[in-house]
This record gives sequence, structure tokens and C-alpha cells, in this order.
Amino acid sequence: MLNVLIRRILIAIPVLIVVASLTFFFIRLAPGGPFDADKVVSPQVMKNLNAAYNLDAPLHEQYFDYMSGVIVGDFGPSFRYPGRSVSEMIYTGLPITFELAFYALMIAVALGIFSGVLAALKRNTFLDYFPMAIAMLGICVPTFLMGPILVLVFGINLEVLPVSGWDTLAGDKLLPSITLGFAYAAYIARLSRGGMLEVLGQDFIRTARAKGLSEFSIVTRHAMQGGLLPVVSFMGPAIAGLLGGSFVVETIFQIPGLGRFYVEAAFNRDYTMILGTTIFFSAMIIFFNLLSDLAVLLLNPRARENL
Amino acid sequence: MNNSSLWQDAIRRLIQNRAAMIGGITVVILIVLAVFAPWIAPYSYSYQNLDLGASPPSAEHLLGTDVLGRDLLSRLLYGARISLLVGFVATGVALVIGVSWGIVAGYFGGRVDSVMMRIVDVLYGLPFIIFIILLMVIFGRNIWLLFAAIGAVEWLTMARIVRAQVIGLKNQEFVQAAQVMGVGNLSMFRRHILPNILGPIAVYATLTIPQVMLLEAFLSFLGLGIQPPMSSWGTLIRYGVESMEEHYWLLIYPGLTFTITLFALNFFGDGLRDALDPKTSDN
Repeated sequence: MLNVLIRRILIAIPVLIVVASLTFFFIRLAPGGPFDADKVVSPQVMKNLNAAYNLDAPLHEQYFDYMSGVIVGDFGPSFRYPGRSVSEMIYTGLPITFELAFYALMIAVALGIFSGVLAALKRNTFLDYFPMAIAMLGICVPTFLMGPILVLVFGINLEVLPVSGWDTLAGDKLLPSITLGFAYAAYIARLSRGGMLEVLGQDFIRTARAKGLSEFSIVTRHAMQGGLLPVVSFMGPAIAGLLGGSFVVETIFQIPGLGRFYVEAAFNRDYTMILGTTIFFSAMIIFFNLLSDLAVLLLNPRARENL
Repeated sequence: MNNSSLWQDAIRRLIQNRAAMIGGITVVILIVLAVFAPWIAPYSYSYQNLDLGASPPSAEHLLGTDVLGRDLLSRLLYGARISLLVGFVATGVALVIGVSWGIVAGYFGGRVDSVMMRIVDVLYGLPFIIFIILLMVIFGRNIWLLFAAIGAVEWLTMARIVRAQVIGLKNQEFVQAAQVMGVGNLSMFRRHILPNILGPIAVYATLTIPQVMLLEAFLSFLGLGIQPPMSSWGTLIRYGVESMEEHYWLLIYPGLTFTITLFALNFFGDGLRDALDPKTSDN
């Protein structure tokens, strides 16, 4: 177990370094400097700007400067917002994005597992078909359509919920969290239904039934442990997906989180911000994938044997 | 093993699956509409009637017009060309990379396999959506780059599926017989391996198309995908959201078209999977 952990971390570190380096050099490939879009400035000012941002140093020097900063959590200054550092923007945006992703994940897990397990138990009845049809809807209606439609219905026509913002009006966290969580609820419902169906057909469940256990404890104590394994291994990719989804949701609902900063940076060609957030997102996603793989190993003895 | 009868069975099962058939027919109709868009569309996608502005659906403009007085139906038809093209071309790219990768890894096994699949594992854990955005920012919003970037992301699962299939095939007698007879690697892949894994490949490819279209629409929605005056469905949804309070039709029709298309592709893909592999259809 410990071996696996160490081996996975040993792989994750070089991967991160490669990702960070590739991003760094990719950004340097981009046509035009970061200040080209500004109004025309004299060559002297341009030179001073470049010197101030250390852009006149040889590339390898810039690279090592940058990387040694990254190790201690310093992603350099923002090119677009003078006086603000990328780290500062990450630290202000991150808690909001995390909170949003957390609520969305809670909605997805609660709704998804409940309807998936129910569908598996009541197979081929209305309680199976109906949630699964809704789940198909969740997979086919993208976030960027779901969000505006919810805004149109609950925010503009019924006027029961705020249409934008975060932590400013009562209930303004509800629509963004539902928008982000719904698609994942759908995936989780399908995964847990499939997983449960597979487990429910196995011998140890029949034994448990023969012992006279109540249906409730068969499901919760015996079947769900194995049946929900696919959901656990989906958690890593789901968290990665939630972060990507936060780009859209934060843009629609005008939430000042990291996702919106990233999209804005991409528009403004704020290279240091793009670079910093990319490295940061990659690190987080690698970390969460590691976590969900370990959880699967802990829960599933059979997966351990193959190592 | 009688290959043709397997496919005949599958086709029979597919035809009996009503949801899948409706999905398939919808997809075919959409493709036809997209291909013949220039002849079907009542107006050009860039024809502006500024006097008209955004007008609700009417006899002249069946789905209404946008703020620049452009006919929404025509723009949807032209948008179908871009959205479907992205879907099919990027899936094609993913198919070529994923199938070759999976066959090589699965067939040669051993060290080759473990190195190749380790690479896939590592790539799986990376935030690709961010890299695609990065590429679009750095190299400009070029439609061919978009195809390549999306295709380069979506091949990973294909590689895993193909590898698993090939490992299963490798130990079968007809493959071993071919090896003994000295059949070369390339013709082994082409004549013995590939025909036997076409089923899973077809299923997964059909299910990849909607994912790719979703990814493209996502990028276009953020304004990082297809650029005006060209428009994909994602771009149209983006414009629709901007003015949905006053001009609901600009959001509803593109949104509906996109969702129906994804539904159709998913139902057809699911049906195809059930038809080719009746064992899993119970689950």
C-alpha cells in the first residue's frame, strides 16, 4: 500500500515538472509580447517594461527563475493587472471555486447515488426508467445551456432566485451549484446503477438474503460497498471536470472565482496568469486523481492484487 | 466464427431498438441538412438585414432573426456543418491515434505495453481542457488546430479499449496460426486483428462524437472556439445567452438543436453497443 503511494507520487512529480516546463515554453512561443495590445509606447518604455518583468533575461535564466519561484508558491506578477501577483489572484479565487465545486459535488453524489441505487433495485420499473431518462438529459444538456435556462426560468421569469453573484444575495449559490452538479449527478447515477446491478446478481448477496437479512441492510452493508466502486474511481475525473465546468458556470453567473480569472486571462493574453493557473490546476488534478485511485485500492482488495 | 452473421444479428437487433433507430435516423437527416445547407438555407449565413434587427419567428424567417437581422434557421444549418464536421473529424483523429496505439501496445505486450499504457495513464490525469484553451490562446483560434487538439485528447479511452480487445484476441488460435505461418505485423493487424475489433471501435467512436461536439461547443461558448462570421452551434448558444431576456428564440432553437443532436448520437451509440454485445445490454 505504502509502496503504491510512493511510486505514484514519484511519477506525479516529474509529470508536473514536464507540464510546467512545456507550458512555460509554449507561452513563449505565442506570437507577440504581452504588452503589444496596449497603446503604442516608446521603445524606452517597452524596454523598461521588459526589464521590470524580467523578460530581457536569457530564456533559460527566466525559466529557472520562474521554476524556483513556483516551488515556493510564487507565480510571478500578472501582466495585465499591474501590482497584483498571480499567486494573490489564485488565493482570492480558489476558495470560491472550491466552495462551488464542493456544493456541486455534494449535489451530484447525493442525487446520483440515490437515484442510481434506486433504479438498480427497482429495475425495469418506472423508478428505473424515469431517473435514467433524467440522467440522459443531464448528460446531453451541457452546463452552458442548463445554466442560462435555469436563470431564465427561476431568475427572470419566476424571480425567486438571484441571477448572478456569489455570497451577495440570499440563495445566490443555489443555481450555480445545481448547474455545475447536475451533469455529474447524471454520470454518477448511471455508474452506480451499473455497479449495483452487477453486485446484486452475485452469490454473496444471495447468501445474505438466505440468512434473512433485511433488504435495507443487504443494500447498504453488502451491495453498496462493491457496487459503488465505479463511482469512487470516477471521483478523480469528476473533480477535474468540475474545475473545467467552473469556467463556464463562473462566467455565466459572474462569480469571481479562479475559473473566471482563467477565462479572462485567456482573453486578455495575460501570459503569467495563464501559466500560473495552468500549473496550479494541473497540480490539483493530479493530486485528486491520486486520491481517488488510492481510495479504490483501499476499498477493493482485488485491485490490490494486480500491483 | 462466422463474421457476417454476427453483423447481421447486430443489425437485426439494432433495427428492433426503437430509440436507437430514431436516433440514427435523426443523425442521418442532420448530416443531409448540413451537407446541403447552401442549397436548403433560405438566406446566406452572413446576410444582414439591419432594419429588421432581432425579430421573432415569422413566415419569412421561420426561426426569427438575430440582432443583426440574420436568419437564425440559415445560421443553424450552416452551424450544423461546422459542429458536425468538428464531431466527425476530431473523432477520426482520435480513432487513428487510439486504435494504432492500442493495437501496438496490446499486440506486442511486455515492456512496450507497459511503457505505452503508463503514458496513457499519465495523460489521463492531466487537465486537458486547460491545454486546449492554452493552445487556442497561443496559436490563434484556428479550426484545424481545434480538430487536432480535441482529437489528441479523446484518443486515450480508445487506446485502452482497443488494447484490452487485442490482448483477448492475441491468444486465440487463428492469430497464433497466422503467426506460425509468418504473417507480417502489418498484415496481421490489418487482416486478422482489426476486423475482429471493429465492433467495439464503432461503438466507442459513435459515443465519442457527442463528447467532441460538447467540447467544441464549450470552447465556442467561452469565445475560444469558432470565430465569426463562421458560427458553430456553440457560438450560436453563446449569442443566444447574451440576449436571452429579450430574444428568447435565439437561445431556445440553437439549444434545442444541439441537445436533440446529442441525444440522437447517444441513443444510437448505446443501441449499437447493445446490438453488438447482447451480454451487456441487460445492464
